Amino acid sequence: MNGWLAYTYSRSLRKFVQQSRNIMINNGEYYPSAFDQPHHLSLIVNYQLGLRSFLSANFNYSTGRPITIPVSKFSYDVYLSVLKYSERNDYRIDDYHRLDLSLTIKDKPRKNKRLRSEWIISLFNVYSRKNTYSVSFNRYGTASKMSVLGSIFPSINYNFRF
Amino acid sequence: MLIKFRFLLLFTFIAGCVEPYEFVVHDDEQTLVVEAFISDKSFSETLLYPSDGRYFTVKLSNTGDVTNTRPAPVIGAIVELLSSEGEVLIYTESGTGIYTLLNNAFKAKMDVTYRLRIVLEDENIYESGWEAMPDIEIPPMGEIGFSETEKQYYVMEANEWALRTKQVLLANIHVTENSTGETIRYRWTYSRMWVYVAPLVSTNDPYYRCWATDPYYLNTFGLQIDKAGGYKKDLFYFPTVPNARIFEKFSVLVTQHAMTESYFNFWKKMKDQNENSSLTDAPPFNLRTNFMSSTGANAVSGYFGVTSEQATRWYFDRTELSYSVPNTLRADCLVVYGPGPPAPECLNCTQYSFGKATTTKPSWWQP
Repeated sequence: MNGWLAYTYSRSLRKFVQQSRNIMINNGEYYPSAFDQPHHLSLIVNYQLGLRSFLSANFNYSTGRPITIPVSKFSYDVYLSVLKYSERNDYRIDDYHRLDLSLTIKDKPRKNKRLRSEWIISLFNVYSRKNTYSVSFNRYGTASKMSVLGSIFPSINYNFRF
Repeated sequence: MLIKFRFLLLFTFIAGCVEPYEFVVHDDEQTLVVEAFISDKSFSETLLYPSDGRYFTVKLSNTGDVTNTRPAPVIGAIVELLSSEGEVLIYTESGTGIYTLLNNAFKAKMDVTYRLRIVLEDENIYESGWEAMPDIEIPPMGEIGFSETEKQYYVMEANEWALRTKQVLLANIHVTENSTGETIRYRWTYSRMWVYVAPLVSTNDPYYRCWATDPYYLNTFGLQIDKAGGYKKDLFYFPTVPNARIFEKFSVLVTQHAMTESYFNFWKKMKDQNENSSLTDAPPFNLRTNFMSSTGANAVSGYFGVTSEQATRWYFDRTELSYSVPNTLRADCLVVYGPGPPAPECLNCTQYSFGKATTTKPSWWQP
């Protein structure tokens, strides 16, 4: 069995200093940029099942991305629903995590055979987590999230080289 | 066929995973919302537009959570208007969250600044900045006209949305020439009224003719920054075929407010946030306010402005159109949908279902 574990802590903050208070973003204070994901974890484990086959597991985790959301609303003049927003990027979407598994089976090694091949049977997103790809709001502040490949996705590959 | 199948597969994976999403909001404290303005036209002068007259009001409410659609009115507040000349005028609580300056003669004066002061029941005090009318000579308001055009609408047909082209009337205003060379910032608002007649009763019936209005019809406003004038500015539009509101007489009171740059920007940003929706829109932000709390209370939403006001009443008759708009009300009321009498509004105009209707003719109604 072999594998590795990688963890990264990083921050990405922004600050705008402007002359006029009228057009200041976040009152001139630091706020998380759209790419601020402090925690990244990556775990890969390979387990040899036999001479020609091994099992691999790949787990990824990262902090959810920052987002500005409507926190309340009010009616004003002709508009029934005017949204009041949080401070810039004051909220985060759900954390991202995903587990993938794969089984690799290599063909029997034969002397003088130029063709080498292998079968890979894999499962992407094993526990069908609907990781959030994007969040959108309608004019009344109701949120919807879009997930890409939010269910388990099996695949079979055949690789060969000669 | 194979291409269609691939697209279907792609669509299933991508678009098929859109679902409702809820955030746990942690900074959802209620904050005060203030709607208020004053202008250089008193209540007595607005009667001459002609109209029912308009007192200056202040509407106080609280923000609600995102899933709530009804504003929470703020009652029991003390609302005062202060002027740089030392004048203090007190608003009277006249409705749920509505405070009215019951003064027939009061109007804002040029070169005088005004401030709104609000004391809530919890003793929090809010004050606006000192505001004044724009220091520009505003030319007389131009005439209202219209043009005929077409617009595309989505309509529900057989339980499906379909795009259809409709004939519309596009109302405009002639922006009067501005010889001052100064920038004038305009906002136009619309107060509409029309005649509705109950088609299945005789003309002598007391419930035959009504004057109707609907607060949600033509519920919009126009904005324009002007430097020279002398052109037509489109204001609002409505479909003409079919539109039962124009079968008899239709009228709109167009009110023009000239305002300061900061008050205009408040309305511009509010309009942008509520009416635009494209990928190139600015990131969401909160609208600027000119209110501050002197007791350290939460921030306020809203803006107190002082405007230079003019208005003109526009009457419209469907015979002014270049094409015919047949009155289909009687035929619609005679269609039998089942047992029982026709719809109440066919027999009694006060039962009008697209707004509020009264048999009392407004004193200013001309035609």
